[in-house]
Amino acid sequence: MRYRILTAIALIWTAAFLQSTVLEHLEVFSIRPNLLLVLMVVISLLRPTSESAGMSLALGLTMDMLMGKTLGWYALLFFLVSIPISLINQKLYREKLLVLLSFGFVSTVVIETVFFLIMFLFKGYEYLPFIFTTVVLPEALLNSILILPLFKPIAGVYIKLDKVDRRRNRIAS
Amino acid sequence: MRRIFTNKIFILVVVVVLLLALAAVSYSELSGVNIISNIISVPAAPLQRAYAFVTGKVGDFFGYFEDVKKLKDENEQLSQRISELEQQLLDIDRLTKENEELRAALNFKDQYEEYNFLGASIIAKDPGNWFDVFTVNRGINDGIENNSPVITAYGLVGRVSKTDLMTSRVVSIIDMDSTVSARLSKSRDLIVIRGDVELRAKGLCRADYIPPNTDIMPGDTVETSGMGGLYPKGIIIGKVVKVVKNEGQYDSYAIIQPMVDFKRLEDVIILTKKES
Repeated sequence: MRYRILTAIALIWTAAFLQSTVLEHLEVFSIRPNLLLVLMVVISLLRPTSESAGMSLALGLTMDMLMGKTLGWYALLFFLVSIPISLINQKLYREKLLVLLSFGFVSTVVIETVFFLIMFLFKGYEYLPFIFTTVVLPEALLNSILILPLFKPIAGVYIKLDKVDRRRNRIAS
Repeated sequence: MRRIFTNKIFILVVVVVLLLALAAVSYSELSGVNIISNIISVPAAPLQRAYAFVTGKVGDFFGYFEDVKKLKDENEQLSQRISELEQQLLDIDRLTKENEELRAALNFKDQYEEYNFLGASIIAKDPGNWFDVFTVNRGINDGIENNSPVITAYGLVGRVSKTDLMTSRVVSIIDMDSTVSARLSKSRDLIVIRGDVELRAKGLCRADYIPPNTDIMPGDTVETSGMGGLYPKGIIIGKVVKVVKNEGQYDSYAIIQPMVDFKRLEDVIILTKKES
């Protein structure tokens, strides 16, 4: 269990560091992909509900901390979006390109649109169509592309963790 | 009872309620709960600093070759400019002395004398696509407080919105959550400068609540008014690039080009209040 927690911390922390530094150089038309969101989708596609919900909560909270604004909104959205994905992940062909692309795209659209509504709509901004076309859709496209190279390495990490678990269980029994 | 606590729906509801409570509590920038941001910011700061240093050096290296060509042309222009400026310097010397004498006669207080100037480097930019917030390598340990004004030699950058032990978050004037009480340098009319969804990507902001009889035109300089107590009076914010006049009494607005180029911003100065 301890190495699972350490792996989770390492994953989250690396993603947070890359998101606040390296990804600045991957911006397309001033829009940056959201590595933490992509990681949340990948983990939700790979892991059972309780594990992916916990990881999504931690990833969302990390995103909130990096933003330096109100804490909790990304955590809540990541958490709520991860649950339906993890509930159906066994029924999906998870390695298929189209599945990865569509889950990356739809999750980003849902999370970023709701985030915008929470953060800005009640402050008098009425630019939803503008925001949707200039921020949400481009970010969704970037995220759905980013999910492709990320899926296999993360899946590899979890396969290794499962192997370690099985070996330990065998020794214990 | 135990069954209730292991019920998945119950856990889901509890987590949602807790997160909503966290959002409500942390809404204020001065909330104590924001201290948990240190979990990320403290260990990340040295790495972010190292990364900013390395990328800066790499940028300098490639920029060097590009700069050689530019420097030759600039050198010629600057030699000419020096002779013009030398003449102006003589005038400025005279005016400075006059200004000092007049200020002393009127007993004016220097607006910056109650502030310390603290240099800071930007070590990380906003991780998302919604805000214009960046992280600097100065925090509570350096005496930074929330709402400390942040400037450069060119003009106003923004204010400190959150402080961690080793780093601080600065919200820029083009951020959608930013509002600055300002004044037109020429006419002295008061206006409000705020970040705008559409203008943010172009590095611009917007001046609102312009009364119909205000003397404002493209090229006018905008500075802080000193009202509200957040920013000292007279810090240059930017120049008016466009004025949009509408029928309503306060419907006119102007587009402001900040003096600071937020895309290329690397170092800033944080004004901290001197201890009295």
